[in-house]
Amino acid sequence: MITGNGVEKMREQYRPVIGLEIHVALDTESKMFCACVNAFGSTPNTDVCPVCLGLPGSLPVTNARAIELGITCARALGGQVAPRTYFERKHYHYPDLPKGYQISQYAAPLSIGGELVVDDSHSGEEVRVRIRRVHLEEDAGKSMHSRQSGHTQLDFNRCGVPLAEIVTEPDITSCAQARRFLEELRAIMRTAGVSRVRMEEGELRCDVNFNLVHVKAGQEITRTQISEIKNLNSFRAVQRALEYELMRHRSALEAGDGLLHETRHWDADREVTYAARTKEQAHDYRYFPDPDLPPILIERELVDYLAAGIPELPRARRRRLRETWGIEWSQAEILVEEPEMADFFESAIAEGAEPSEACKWIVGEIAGYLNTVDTTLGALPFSAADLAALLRLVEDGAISGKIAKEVWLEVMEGGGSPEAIVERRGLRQISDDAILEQIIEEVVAEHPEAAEDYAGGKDKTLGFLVGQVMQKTRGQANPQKVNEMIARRLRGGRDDN
Amino acid sequence: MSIDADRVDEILRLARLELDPSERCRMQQDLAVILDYVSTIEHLDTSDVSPLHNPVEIDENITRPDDAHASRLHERFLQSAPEREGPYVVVPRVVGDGVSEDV
Amino acid sequence: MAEIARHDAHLGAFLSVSYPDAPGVKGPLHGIPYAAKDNLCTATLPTTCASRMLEDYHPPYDATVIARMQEAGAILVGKTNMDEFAMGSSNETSAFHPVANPWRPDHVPGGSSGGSAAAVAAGLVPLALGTDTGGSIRQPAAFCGITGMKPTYGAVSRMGLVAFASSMDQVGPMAMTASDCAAAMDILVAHDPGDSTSSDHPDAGDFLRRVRAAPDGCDGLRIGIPREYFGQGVDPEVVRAVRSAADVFSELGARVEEMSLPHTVYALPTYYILASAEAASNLARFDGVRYGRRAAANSIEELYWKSRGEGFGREVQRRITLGTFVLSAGYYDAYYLKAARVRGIMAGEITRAFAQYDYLLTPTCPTTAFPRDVRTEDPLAMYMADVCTIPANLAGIPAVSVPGGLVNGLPVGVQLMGRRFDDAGVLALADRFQRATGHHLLGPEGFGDHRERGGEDA
Repeated sequence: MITGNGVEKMREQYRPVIGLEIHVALDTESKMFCACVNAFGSTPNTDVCPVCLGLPGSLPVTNARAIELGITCARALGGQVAPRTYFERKHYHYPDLPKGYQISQYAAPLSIGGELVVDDSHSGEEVRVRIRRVHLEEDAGKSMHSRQSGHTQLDFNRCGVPLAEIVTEPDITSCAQARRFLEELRAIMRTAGVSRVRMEEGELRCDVNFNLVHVKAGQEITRTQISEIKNLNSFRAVQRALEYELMRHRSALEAGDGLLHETRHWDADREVTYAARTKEQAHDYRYFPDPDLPPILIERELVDYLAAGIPELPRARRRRLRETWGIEWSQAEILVEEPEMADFFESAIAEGAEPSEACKWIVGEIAGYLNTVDTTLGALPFSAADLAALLRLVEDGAISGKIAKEVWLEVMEGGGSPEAIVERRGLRQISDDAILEQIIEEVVAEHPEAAEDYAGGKDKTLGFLVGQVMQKTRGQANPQKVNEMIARRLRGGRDDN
Repeated sequence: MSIDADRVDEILRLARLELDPSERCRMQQDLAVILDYVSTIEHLDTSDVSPLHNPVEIDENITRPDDAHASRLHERFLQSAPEREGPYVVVPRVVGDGVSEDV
Repeated sequence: MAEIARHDAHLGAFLSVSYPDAPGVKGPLHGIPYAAKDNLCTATLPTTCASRMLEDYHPPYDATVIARMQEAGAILVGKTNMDEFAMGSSNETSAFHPVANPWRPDHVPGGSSGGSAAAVAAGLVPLALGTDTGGSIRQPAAFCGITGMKPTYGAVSRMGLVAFASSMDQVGPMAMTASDCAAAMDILVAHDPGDSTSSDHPDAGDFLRRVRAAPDGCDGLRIGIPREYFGQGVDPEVVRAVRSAADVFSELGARVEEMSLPHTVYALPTYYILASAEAASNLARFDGVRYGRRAAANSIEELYWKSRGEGFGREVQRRITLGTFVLSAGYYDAYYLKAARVRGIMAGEITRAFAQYDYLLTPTCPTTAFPRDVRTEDPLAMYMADVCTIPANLAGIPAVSVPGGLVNGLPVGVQLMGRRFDDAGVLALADRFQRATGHHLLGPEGFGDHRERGGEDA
């Protein structure tokens, strides 16, 4: 439907115009303006104090680390950090907003400009999405409807959590790109240590702006009004909501309807967007500089220092890993999504592991295992040196690939050195010719028909016989050796024919 | 300076102030008188003056280190809330945009 | 406490009283009973701000100043009446009851710290804490014939002070003498890391000593009298009282002369725009959801509208409306931003004046205490009571009101202002004035001999 290359360009198209407004929870110990813990999942209304509850007489005090993480976020996106920034009050009434205003930024945001490049691994295209601004603000609480009691329940634990708000220009031109953007942003935030972006803890929320332009032979004919879809909290929801909007806007254009500029919400169950239920009256946020908070002066040296501390960003790292170690694009993506994993990979290589093997094991066994446990790579009881040791054992023929997987599972679950486990469990591959010959003789004697079949030209039965040997040795025979030896043993019979 | 009724209604809506018709009328009049008076600063030339939002002059940033400690006042807070359900403060059901979730 | 109860039945100065034990702590204010204005959070007594909105509100914590007073051994005997949310100049907007001026009960005590002023003037307590945003300590001090100080903005923590105008509010002492105020300042002034607008004061803890160590004369001091404070609307008797204060300072050796602060006339409109905007914002949190008055309602919107409509009195509603207007889209630049720039001009003008002068001498208020119920219908008339006091809040400078005599049996207040952080100098000058005159020793009839309550053992 929407295409971007070749001949299609000359025909009629509907071009999506997408902008994102993303809120990322910063990885601080305490909240933005008070010393309450910045945590998730506590008993409701326990991580609160007079400041984040907005009790009369309370006053905010800015978290220095939140400023630093904000600066780091801005620089990771290539933004220009303001030498002087200040907070403003954004007024609106909502029960989970205790003060009746949110401390945010407006006229003098922390940073402006920057860009995030989205690589389309399939088309090889590069989309440069410009960042309009990054600013800091405090989060509001949570409100939940109780259908039985007819009340709305309020939990203020989240009030005051520090957020970075990242606003893009409307440079995104497809729904899939929007998702890729968010995935890339997540990787960047994690790499830079700004946020752990744990979606299940609500650490990233996204509003999208969507409209559709009708183009014919390169000229714009008309476009729809912008729809704002608010509060999407998974990447899937973002993509699905945008796809829905694309359909909706396209139908509208085909029917000659330009639509209205409006706010909509995403119904995850029915997978549709719907217009905001209340009569949408224009918000007048009445911003003015918060008189309780002096401006923050940011020295060039601090910005440079924080920027220098940002590790290699995902895009650059993916490129370097592929170019240096020859791994696949899809593998590089998995490795880089979690900085620890890419670090692990490079450490394993440093410990002597062969790059493509190490990569296979990390994106396969280790990534697979991580999906089943609720922890991080760093918390698991093994090191890159352990993986290198395991791979060495396989390379040396000491164990088979299959056995290696068993051994590695034990390492992942409980730690230990691969060599020690192999010894303890007696898993060493049997490569001793004399032993193997003996077992082969047993198998051939037990399955004379199979032996005859092979001798008679049925190559398939070799596999069966090898399998029998493997069974007798509980998988510890060296399969290649067994294969060769049986073949030699039985070929003797074949040659006679 | 007169101020029209619609404008007053909009302001009262933003401020969430319910006034009965006579109070509203009176507010409109009072506002007009006051605005008239405060508008006297309009003609001053302020083109090369920075706004002064707070008399404090800062020479270094006022911030706090990122240390967390519990306030332990949450029990008292909950006890004095106008209405609660277990650990939650409750209000009559909110309908419309911006709601986090349905439970 | 019995005496408090007896007199206060007629005065209405207190909204709540406590019956505390003697303090265990031995501190500089050991055993001194004091009252606190009811917009200062106290964990042991309600904090109502004289509003129906907070009629039954009990904060879970003490304001920093309250905690510091307790550490100093002072005894909190009650919370004083005030104009609702500190908005007013006569204590007539209290939602509960007005306060009578001890000098003349059918006259106002001034506001918004009317209860604190009346309590001290009537000898019920030797010291009371008030708050001053546009003159709310100084003007009632003037009307009640006592001494009241607004410290340099930032000198005293605002943590626990229910905010009215965040960039102007300050807590300050009200007592019979400047030296009593200085003793209180020794306790109140300290940097508070919980208040981002609070500063380190160079004289913290040293005010009383500085006052006592000051020379008896005023040689070398330059005192300016800005002519714009003596315009139309200022009672000629008040003018005379200030001129006679000027003579006292001249006799003490100061160089006293008339000068000009041309932008003074813009102080009042500037203040009303800025203070109302900040107030509208600070009062947005009173919505019936987490604390305070919650009206019966079937929806959240109804809850907001009704709780706020019922909980706030007319003056508060007026200021919220004005404040919301000046911040609203389309009006922000012409009103709020413009006023902030004018504030910049005025603060600059005052700073430049302090290059030529050490202190400024003005009336505290254009009149003496006016009768009750005469200005309540006309907001502008009420606002005029603040013309002389507001500039100090806009510029954040220290200012004290001292008694300057009587006019028709009612006290006149004389105001002294100084540079930012020269609180000690302002108090020392006020103290010299008091030692040279006897105005501060006068008290209203019928309230006992409270002259003896003055003076602290430091």
